[in-house]
Amino acid sequence: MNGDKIIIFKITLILVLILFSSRLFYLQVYNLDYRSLSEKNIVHLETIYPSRGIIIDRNDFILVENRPNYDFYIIPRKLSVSDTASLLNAFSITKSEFEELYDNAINYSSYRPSLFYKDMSHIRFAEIQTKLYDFNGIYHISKPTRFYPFSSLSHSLGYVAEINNNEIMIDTSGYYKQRDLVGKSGIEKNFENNLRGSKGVQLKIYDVRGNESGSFKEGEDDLIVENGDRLKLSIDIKLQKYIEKLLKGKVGSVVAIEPKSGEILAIASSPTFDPNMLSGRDYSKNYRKLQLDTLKPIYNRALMATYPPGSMFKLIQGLIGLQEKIVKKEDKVFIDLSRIGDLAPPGTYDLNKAIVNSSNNYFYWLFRKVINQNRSSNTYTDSRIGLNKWSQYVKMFGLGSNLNFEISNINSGFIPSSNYYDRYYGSDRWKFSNIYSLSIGQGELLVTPIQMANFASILANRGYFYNPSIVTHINESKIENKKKHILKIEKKHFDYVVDAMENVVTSGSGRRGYMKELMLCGKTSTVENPHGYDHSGFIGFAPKNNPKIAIAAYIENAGWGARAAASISSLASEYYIFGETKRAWLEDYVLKGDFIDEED
Amino acid sequence: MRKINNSIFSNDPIIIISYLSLIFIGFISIYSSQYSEGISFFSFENESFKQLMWIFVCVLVFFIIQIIEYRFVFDLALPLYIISILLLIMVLFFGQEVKSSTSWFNLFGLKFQPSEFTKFSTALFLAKVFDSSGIKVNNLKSLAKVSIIIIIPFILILLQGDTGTALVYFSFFLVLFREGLSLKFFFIGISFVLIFLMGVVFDKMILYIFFTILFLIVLGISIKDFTKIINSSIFFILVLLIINGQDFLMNNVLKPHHKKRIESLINPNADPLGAGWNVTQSKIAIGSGSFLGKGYMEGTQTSFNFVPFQSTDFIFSVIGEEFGYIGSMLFIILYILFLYRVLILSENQKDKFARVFGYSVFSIIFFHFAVNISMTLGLFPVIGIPLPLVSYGGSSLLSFSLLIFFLLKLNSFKPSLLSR
Repeated sequence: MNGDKIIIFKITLILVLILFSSRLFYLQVYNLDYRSLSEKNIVHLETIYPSRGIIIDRNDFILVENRPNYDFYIIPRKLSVSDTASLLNAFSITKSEFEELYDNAINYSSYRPSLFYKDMSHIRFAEIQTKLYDFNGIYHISKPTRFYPFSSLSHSLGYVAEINNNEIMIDTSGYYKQRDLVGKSGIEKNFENNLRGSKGVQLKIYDVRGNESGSFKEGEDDLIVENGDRLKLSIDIKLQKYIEKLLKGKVGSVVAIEPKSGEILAIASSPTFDPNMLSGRDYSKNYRKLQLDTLKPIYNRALMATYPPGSMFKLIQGLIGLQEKIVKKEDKVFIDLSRIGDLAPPGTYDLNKAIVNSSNNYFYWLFRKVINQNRSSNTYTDSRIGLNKWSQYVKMFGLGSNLNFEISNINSGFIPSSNYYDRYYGSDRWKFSNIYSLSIGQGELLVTPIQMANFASILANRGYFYNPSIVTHINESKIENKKKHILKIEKKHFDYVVDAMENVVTSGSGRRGYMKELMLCGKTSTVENPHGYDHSGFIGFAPKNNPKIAIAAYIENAGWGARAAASISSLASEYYIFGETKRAWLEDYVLKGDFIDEED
Repeated sequence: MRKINNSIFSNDPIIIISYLSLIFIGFISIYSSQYSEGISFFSFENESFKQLMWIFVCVLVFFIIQIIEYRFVFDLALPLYIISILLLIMVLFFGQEVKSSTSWFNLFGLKFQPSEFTKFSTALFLAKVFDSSGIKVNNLKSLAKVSIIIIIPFILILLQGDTGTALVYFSFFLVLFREGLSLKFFFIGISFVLIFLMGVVFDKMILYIFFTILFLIVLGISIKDFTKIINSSIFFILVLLIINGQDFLMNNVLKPHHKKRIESLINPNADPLGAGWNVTQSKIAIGSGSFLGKGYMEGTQTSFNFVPFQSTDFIFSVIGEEFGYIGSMLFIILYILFLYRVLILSENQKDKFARVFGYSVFSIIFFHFAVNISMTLGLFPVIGIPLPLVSYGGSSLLSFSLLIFFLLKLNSFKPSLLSR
């Protein structure tokens, strides 16, 4: 009977009821995952970016601070703009550019914000701020951006920019996300972990109308943002600016150190650039421009450029000679000009006179006695023993070393070793006559300006140094990691050499840098340059007793060290010690920058 | 003929109350799903406002049906069926394409879906055919005759590309079952569907081996019964055809999105943001409703439009999210109660015309209900059919209302038929 079939329909209804109620029970009561999944849909993870640490100089002038730049985001679904022309005008974009941006945003998502315009300066932002209320669906986020009030010290400070894929891959901490800013060079890079601080996270919920409605679980799972550390540098920004001014139009670098602490007072490389160029919207454009510049303004010559030290190296040779008792203070030798080209006249020399007159042939004689001390009958073996001894001495002066400097992008220079000459000439195939150029700081020797400044500092201290350093404080706490390097050369030898350095300035090649009150001691270098005009070098310190500043200057293609480098060093020292310069004529001379054609 | 007092509420109060409740729940759910859009309520862009307009239309239609003559309903069956078939053909040529299906007429901005009305006209015509000619469904000739009535609209709707609505026509076979069609046919039909689905999951070779072994076992058991051997051989050949034809069907008849939906039902995590997106988000919406629900208009899934088609095919996800397990269960029970009343009412019809029509109403609504809720709960592939009386959509609301109203109309004439 067909009428009985209704029971099957009734059973089917009951089965469907059971099926649905058990499935609903599973979804809604038993399985808790769906609750968190729907939370995930509405809880937005908001990253709070820490403010990057500021950097100040030794006198608390602010060198780097943060100013807001603005990024604009678009939510296509919410976009409604009454006056399109005004929008295009505000962002200085064309209609087709806008349409492209809009299409890209829609392709990403209609509901989620897409980046629309990046890095608007706070000045421009202030101009268009009132218009923004008319642009529904366009949101801005303020983003701290590096600002350099002095437009100075660019090489050492470095710059920050968006992290690249490579850097994200290398980062094992997982801290960085796309678009994060990261220090790319200089202090910004080497103190990244201090400066960046630590990002915070806020979980925010959005109500049914899409508005933010407070924090998720009363902020229980939030991460507190920690701002970056403040760095205090040893730099005296006024001195730095003064040196940069003197270096304008020249190629080279100057490094000034406070001898008693090793703290760097100024470190300049020329040509330079305004660090603000690499901050904000025009970063890529400017970076490319700087990279294409043939004078390489991005290149940090103070740390990276290597040169033969030239005559200033004679001071080291003299000190070695004294310590090795090859010469004594009172020793006088007759020097002819037979061995090596020389500008000093022939005659009877003691070490003092040799330094003051920068006699090449004297140091040829001295270096020969250092290398060949007759410790072996074999002249080759004897030269090897002598060179090994010599290079141990040279290394004591911090040459051939990165000096453990805080900025890791530094060149160590080069001190030729026995092994080097073995490779070059073959083992036991070289002797003094192959290496004599070292006697006057030429040949294979290469040093960097910061090493020269450190050398000046050693002389100022009469025999010891602290590694040069640039960051002195992190927040309030002073960095105490100073190791005192004491050279194994007696102080009296240094006193002797320093007297000679005083004479260099008062009556020798450094006369141009003389100033009675300054009591500058120094040594010039004129470094042979096979590619063009000679390089001009100078190291020195002032005042003679209780020195406050040790300085090295190296100016490329500027001819005699007596001119550009000595003048700049003297002016910088005067400026640092007295807070001003009185020698306007010397300043004009340096600023004019025409050192080559002038007769000395 | 005795004049009877067919007042609205004396008819079948349970059906009328549950009908009104479902319409009301539908309206508030649509309203909730639309609320966050920020469109003024009194606007034709607002679906809940349009739904309200359609509800008024339904009320009007209800009163019109109350005053028409019983004979008129009977005579209307054939012309309505022919007209709706013609409309189905016309829509293929003049229809508007929406989401890859050409099933809509657009008349002066008013959208109209003939396949919805065809459910009504087919039910009416089927009832008339059963009533007027002595159909015996287990007689193959009769079965073929009634099957054609169902198959014609099925094929035409399939041609429109609206597979989901086309499948609804299979629910008429429930009516045939009530009218005597052997259960055997159902089991065979269901087993073919299952084998088809197994073809999606398993490797073909495994199925061949499995069914060959099964066939050999059956042969061994029924070695002495010749009829059984013939039957099982035919069945085996059909199985092989289905397994083989499965690829053809998947690649040529079903559209890529259907294929993906079938696959995503079997493995919803394979492509959670693509084909599985609707189901994933719908499950999240319903699941996150928990026991008590998030509260009316507080559904976050709903207000952020995470669930696509939430006012139409996925309206149940709104109910599940905002009213929780309690609310969902009350809703399901209300719906089943409604269907149960329709079933009882249909069974009680002494007149064959009324009974076949009633069972058609029951079958169509039951099919929609079971498939739609299964869809939102992730138990069945998403085939895009609405939840009758609850989902947004004028054509669908009107056609389901017509089915209910005519059933009530026929029921109200029951006493007079008795005296005929």
